[in-house]
Amino acid sequence: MKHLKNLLFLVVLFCLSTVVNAAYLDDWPDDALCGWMQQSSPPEYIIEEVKKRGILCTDGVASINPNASQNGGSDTQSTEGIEIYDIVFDEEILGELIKIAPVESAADFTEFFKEYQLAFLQNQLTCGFKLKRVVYENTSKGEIEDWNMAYGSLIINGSEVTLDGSWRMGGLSNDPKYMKDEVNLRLTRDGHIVGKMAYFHLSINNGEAPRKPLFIELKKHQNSKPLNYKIRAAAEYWIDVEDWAGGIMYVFNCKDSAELQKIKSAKEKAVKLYTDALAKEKAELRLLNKIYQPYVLGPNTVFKIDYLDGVFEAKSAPEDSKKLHDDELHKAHINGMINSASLDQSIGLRTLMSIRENEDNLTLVVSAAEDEDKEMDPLKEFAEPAILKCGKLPGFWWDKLSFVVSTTDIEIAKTQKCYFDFFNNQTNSEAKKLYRAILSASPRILSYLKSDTDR
Amino acid sequence: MHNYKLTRRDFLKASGASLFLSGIPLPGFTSDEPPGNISVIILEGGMDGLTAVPPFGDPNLSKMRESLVPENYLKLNSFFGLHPSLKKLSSFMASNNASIVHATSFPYKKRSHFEGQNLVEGGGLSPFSEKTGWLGRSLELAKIPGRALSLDMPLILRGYSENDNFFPANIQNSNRINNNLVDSLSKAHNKESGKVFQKVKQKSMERLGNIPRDAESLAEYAGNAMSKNGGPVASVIRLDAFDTHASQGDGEGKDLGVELAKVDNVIAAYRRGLGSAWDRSIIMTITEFGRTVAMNGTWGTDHGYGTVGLLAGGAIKKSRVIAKWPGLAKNEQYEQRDLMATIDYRSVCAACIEKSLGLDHDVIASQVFFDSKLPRVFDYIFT
Repeated sequence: MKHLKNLLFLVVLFCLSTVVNAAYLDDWPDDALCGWMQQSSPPEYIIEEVKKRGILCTDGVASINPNASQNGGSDTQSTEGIEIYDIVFDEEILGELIKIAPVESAADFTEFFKEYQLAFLQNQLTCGFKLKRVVYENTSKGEIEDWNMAYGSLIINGSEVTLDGSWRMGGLSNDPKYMKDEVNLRLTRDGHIVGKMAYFHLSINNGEAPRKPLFIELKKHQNSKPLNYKIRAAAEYWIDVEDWAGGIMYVFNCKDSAELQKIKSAKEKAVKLYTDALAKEKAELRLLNKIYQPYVLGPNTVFKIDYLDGVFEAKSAPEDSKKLHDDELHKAHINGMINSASLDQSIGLRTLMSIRENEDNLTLVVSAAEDEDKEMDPLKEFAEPAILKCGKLPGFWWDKLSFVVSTTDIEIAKTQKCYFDFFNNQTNSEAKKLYRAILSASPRILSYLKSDTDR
Repeated sequence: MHNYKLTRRDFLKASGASLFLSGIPLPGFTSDEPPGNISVIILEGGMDGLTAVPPFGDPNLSKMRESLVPENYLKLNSFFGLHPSLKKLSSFMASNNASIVHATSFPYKKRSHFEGQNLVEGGGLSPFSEKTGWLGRSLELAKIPGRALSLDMPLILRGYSENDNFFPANIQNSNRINNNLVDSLSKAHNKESGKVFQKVKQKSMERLGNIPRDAESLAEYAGNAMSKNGGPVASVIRLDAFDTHASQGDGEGKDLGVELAKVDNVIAAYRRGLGSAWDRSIIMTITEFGRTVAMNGTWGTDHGYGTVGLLAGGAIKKSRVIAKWPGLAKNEQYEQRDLMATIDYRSVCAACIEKSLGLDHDVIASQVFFDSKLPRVFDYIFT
């Protein structure tokens, strides 16, 4: 009986402690429970409370147990009930999906060539090609821009078309692999080029992020002019790229390997002829070099004129001339005297003069027109015959004489020498004297015009 | 023997997209070459799985959200469709290289972006409970430390002290620092601090190439890097703008359609970059939660629970939709508003780690996700 009483006491005590603990823990925050859970052997009633609340404890911090079924949540802790829904495309859709080719490699197009009747050329054909942008923003017909997006050679071997060239769009387009490896094109029997190729539709400048190319499809475009590979006529292939712009590929100057060999031989022959001619010309120029002082420059040699000491003294201010041509500078009526010690002469000069200057030539142009001052009379009747004999110089007109002061063009230098010889051989001593006087003072007249006239 | 001539380039970050690469095998660390590689596309904002992969076979779909179901979805089978913006993914499906897990989610039900994003990257049992990420812990277990190339180490990749971070500031004339100064600073500091300065010096000497900045280019770059012998085995790309509370739309040109097209292009760009490495690759999306079943008053959807996971890669040999479909009737929804998640997406992550890094499922369950009871769904995805 005594033992029974003790047992009953213990049971009652246990129940009471549990109830007390439970009631006591109700007020505990989750984190406090998790603090206890960090102990190596947390009390059972703490563990029970954590389970009851459905919290998870990590580093002493409580969180909601995602696996606890609360708020009507489902069981994600089992694979039971998971089903596999097979993907079933019908044949037509499957074909279309494969055609999307998410890889975007030109190589993916290969199987679609069977849709075309391909040509097969016995001899390899090598053509030039250039690719330009066609813009549709202003007109639906498209405006072809006047610059090349890409250019190079187009080689047709059998039916396979390869490109050997380069893109000019900057960024990744500089990588030659896109032209070499990412082109999968074929020639059809009716002369179209079909297939897929990497296509850089946007220019990328230095410092800008590169953009991957588009992989566009070349189709038989209604605007295209196919290649007649039998007569090698030029072709145009229109390419649809985006709504606002597309492209056009010109294919031209196609040659087969035999023709290319002929061209190669002809080129080699031409190079030899040119080299020989250059050597001969150099010999001639060396001969000329003995006659003139170095002033009028030509490639590899100089001309020599030994009386370039003429001085120009103005008598009155230059009178401006209103009409100027494209490369005409400092055009004015001048009035003065030329004095040359070497020529031992002093001669009046009153006429219209100008300077012509470009990258290759600096020329003094003297008017010998009928309406010019009488000081120019000796030259007036000789200007036209000189031009007829020697040809045109910069600033050419029938009543004007040019004095080329410097040139990098050997032909102009030779023409200038012809003029000099023409007047030197004149029996009319007045014309000869005036021409030589102007020539002797030409550098100083140029300086005078440059410093004393506005334009 | 690995070829350790690594081009340790560039981290790439762009508005709307950022890339993190990690898991570059290092000598002495990696016992075996991992069997594959894994890429994670984080879709921030909570992607609406019911629009991305509409379960048109459920009669309640059109009742609940008629204006959000794309009209021209691609029928995958008699029950599920695919949003028309996911064209390239559908092409991978046609090639048996892509699958979908539907009615799935990380075990997070509170609908907070901040908590949710932390949980899906951390992979812990509750938000902010982990200072490391599930992918970082996986790389550690696989003994593939490496570098996450980013300014901030993304949580998903944290988990190993040898992971390093890097951000290229491409400022004119700033790419060379005074090495003598750094050496002096290094000597003036204790061992650990000195190491930091040496690291700064090393990084400053790394040359930056022409860095792509859009999400697609980042993905292609990452794929290319991972395809190289000795290259990284993991990459993470973030895409945002999936929080479609208003004007969500149903078609290709609509808000969500545009974002889904970006995901589609990123997956395709990975494919381009990976080249022949595609066959051993797995690409997966994660998002913090799904969205409400019913449309709200602003033609959008609000934060929800269950969603979809998109999987692609040559490691997948049979395309399928994997789901324990919970139904869309009101009483079948979570809290009578959200798509119920019936598959724990951590299981899907675990399967992808198992496939790509060759780790045992039980190890992943207990040491990566701290949940030894995590179901193994490997066979559903990869066999």
